[in-house]
Amino acid sequence: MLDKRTYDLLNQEMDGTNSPRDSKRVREILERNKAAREVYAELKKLSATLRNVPKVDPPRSLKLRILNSLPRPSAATPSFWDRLSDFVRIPVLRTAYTFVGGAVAGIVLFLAFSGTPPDSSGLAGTIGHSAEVSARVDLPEVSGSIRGQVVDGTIQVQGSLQSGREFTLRVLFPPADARFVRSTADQPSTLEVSPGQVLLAARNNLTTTLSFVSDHQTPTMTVQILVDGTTRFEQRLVFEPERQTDQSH
Amino acid sequence: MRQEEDSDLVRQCLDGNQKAFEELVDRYQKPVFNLALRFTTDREDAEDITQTVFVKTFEKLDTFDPKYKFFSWLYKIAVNESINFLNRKRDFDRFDETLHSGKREEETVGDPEMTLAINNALLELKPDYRILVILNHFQELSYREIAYILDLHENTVKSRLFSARRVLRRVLMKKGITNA
Repeated sequence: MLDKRTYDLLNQEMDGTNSPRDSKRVREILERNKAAREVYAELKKLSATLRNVPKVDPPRSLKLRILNSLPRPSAATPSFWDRLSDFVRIPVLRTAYTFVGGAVAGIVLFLAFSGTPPDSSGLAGTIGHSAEVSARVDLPEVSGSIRGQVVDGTIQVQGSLQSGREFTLRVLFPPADARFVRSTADQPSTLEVSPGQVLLAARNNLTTTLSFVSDHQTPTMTVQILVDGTTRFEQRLVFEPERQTDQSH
Repeated sequence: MRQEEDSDLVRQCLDGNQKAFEELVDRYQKPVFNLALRFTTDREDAEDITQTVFVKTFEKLDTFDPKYKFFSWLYKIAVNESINFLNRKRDFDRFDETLHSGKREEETVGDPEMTLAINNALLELKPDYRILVILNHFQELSYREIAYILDLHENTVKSRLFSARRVLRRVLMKKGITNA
């Protein structure tokens, strides 16, 4: 058993932080003290072992995730509306704007009344067009993350949610497009499945993976979090299983 | 050299240049991710932590003091976020359950058995010790840098780090790792 001072000196020697005088002292200790030699050798092995653990590359999608989640800059640069306003004030362009504006309005009206009305995506909008999408949940009552991914043709909606109270995770999907397969929840929760809807009521925290199968090429799902029967969070997940999105360059 | 470049990028970010922040993400997402990964040993948790760290960094960029190294400041945020994350998990009494349930997505780069054994050994350390080992051995930071990041006196860093090594050595020896 080494005394604390000797043990500290050995550690510092390994870290290369000893003064020349202390290094000399360590050499002397190592020469005459077998226990110190053993401990020093073990420390070096420990350091080498830890050094040999390889660094792991983060997934390439992480950078995109980070950049997409940054708040909009509140920089001093003029906003779009400021720029538009300045632009419109140029007299010679006013007539051109009238025509262009009319044309744009016409196209918008045409699109609005000629096609299928767009699906209302609720509170937070669509979060992705890729094989893996994710979003953070940051409510006063519930926090955590929702992740959607396609694995071997199976759609997985994963929730890792923390809360101090009861809440419900609801996944809505077109019944013709997807079929619910199973749920893995490692906390007490109540599962309720009906066509086009899966409800998972949790008492507090919830970690779950809900699996679905789909033949639809671009299945769309909506994930909601309900507290006291009120939808407090809503997110659309749009998958394109065949395409691997990588925008990290 | 690198520090000046980082500070320069921070300045550019504050001037509204988002590309500059993108460059900072490029430079530091891997070390931050690895720090979080060593701390939690779970890839998904590490991704979430990394994302949060960079968002918070972006939000607090105007409080960065250029007299410090940017990466030390970033690590400070990363360490706090990792510890908070762990505390939240512990609060909900989930961490230990998932830790030993085998359901987690463990990272398996390199020698998977060795990595797993080291991960498990790290998890046997209390968080105070674990973070020191991570910062010193995996991030290769000096006592002084660690002291800044953890808001500790340098002597405290040394003392705790040496104790952490003692415990880790014992755990790894029990698992037959260091005396192989």
